[in-house]
Amino acid sequence: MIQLFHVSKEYPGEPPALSDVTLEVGKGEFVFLTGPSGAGKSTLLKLIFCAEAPSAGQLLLFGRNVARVSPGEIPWVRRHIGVVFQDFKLLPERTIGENVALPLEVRSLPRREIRKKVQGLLRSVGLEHRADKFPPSLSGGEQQRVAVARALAADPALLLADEPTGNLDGDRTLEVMELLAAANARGTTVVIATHDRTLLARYTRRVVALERGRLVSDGDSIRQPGERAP
Amino acid sequence: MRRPVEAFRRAFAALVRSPYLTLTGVATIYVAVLSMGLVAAALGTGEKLLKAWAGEVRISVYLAPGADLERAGVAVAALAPGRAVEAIPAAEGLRRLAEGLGEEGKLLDGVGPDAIPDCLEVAVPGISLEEARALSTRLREVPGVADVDYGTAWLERLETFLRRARAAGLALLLGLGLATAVLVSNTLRLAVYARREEIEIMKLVGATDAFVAAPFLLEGLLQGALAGGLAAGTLLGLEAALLPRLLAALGPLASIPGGAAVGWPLLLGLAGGGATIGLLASGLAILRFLRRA
Repeated sequence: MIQLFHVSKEYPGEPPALSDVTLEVGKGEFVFLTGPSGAGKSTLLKLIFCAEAPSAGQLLLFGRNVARVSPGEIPWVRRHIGVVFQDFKLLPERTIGENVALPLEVRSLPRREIRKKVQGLLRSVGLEHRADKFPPSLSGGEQQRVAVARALAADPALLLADEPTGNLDGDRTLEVMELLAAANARGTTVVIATHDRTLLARYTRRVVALERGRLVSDGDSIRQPGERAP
Repeated sequence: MRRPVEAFRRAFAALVRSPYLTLTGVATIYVAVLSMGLVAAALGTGEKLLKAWAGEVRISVYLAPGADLERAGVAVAALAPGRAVEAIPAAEGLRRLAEGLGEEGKLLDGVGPDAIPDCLEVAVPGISLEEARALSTRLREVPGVADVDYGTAWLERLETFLRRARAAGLALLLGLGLATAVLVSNTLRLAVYARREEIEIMKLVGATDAFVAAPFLLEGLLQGALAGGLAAGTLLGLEAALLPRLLAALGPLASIPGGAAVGWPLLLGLAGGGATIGLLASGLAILRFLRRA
């Protein structure tokens, strides 16, 4: 699904954001990308999401070298990827339903189909009764659930989440993590960037650690005694 | 079919969602289009008046004392084929002058017919000033002719003024067009910038540039058409309010062929021009933004 070969990313006048990273994420995996602030987690997600291009090395996405993906093709690549951000990135002047419908509108699906699908998605995140509300009237946890619903709306093969629980308290974090885990159980590959060690301790999943742009470890997280699996 | 309808739906929704930005865009295009319309209407009216006045031209051919009026009339008619030539002996000329002066015509009591020369009047409706000028030059060569007056010295000055005004107006229109393009483009760029988050998220969920740009283009088109329509309406209103006063001030000299200073071509041009300006400016704004996004 994702293959990085000696990938580096540099910005002018700054130390390398990523340095010689080689990594492979297979179909259906659930991977935590961790490390302190500035480790390069978000940069790595941006490369995978085709928001930026590597300075060196090769990145293969769904078997395609992203260096050979033309700007006009990027939207079509992105349609296979759902993204969740720490700050939700919901449109405040659109209703919850309209926000979730965005990826489906982009695909020009019939309105009836969009409405039906949005209802199902909002039901799956427990917000079907708030479809007509606007994001600012929702709590942080609810907004992130909406963001997850939007990211999953078009049944993406890959779900990227950049600090999805960074703004949430403990219970809300669990709710969102369960949604992501459920998506993974349905076959979606999930990559979560987080520096929250309690998450890594709670979920026994593959953990890729970055530090100062370098990959420093790649292995399973160790569940703390007494923690439950997702 | 669904895509254009969807794009229109999104464009309308965006216009309604951001009334302030919509109004700013419409107002900017309106002011720009109205300014251009006013200049164009003023120039057009001037041209029409000039043509109308030139169309009323009568060339007066004054004979030298003792010249044969009948013979001169034949020679003049030969030089102005198809034109009505009227011979006005001095006595008749004096009578008409007195009649034209009305009450003050009594001042001419006691003035003999020798006071004014015999005259031939050539009616030349529809003649251009250049043609009138050329014909007058030829008529001066007729034996016995002392002077030729086509009574249009002031028309010549007006024509010169209009020629200069036309050149200045065209330069002004060009300048206005450029300023309009920059002004409207910058205003619509603000609108695009205000919705950068929406564009970013659209692209995030896989929207193509065309999908993102379509509603912006339609918004620009609709705003421009609305502004152009309003400018056309304003111009019609101004014409209805001001033209009768202008014509009254000019008195019997003023009559505009067809009666309208602001014609349908200009009105349609304003509406279409507004729509075109809106479309181009919004296209420029969104494409610049997408290139950088």
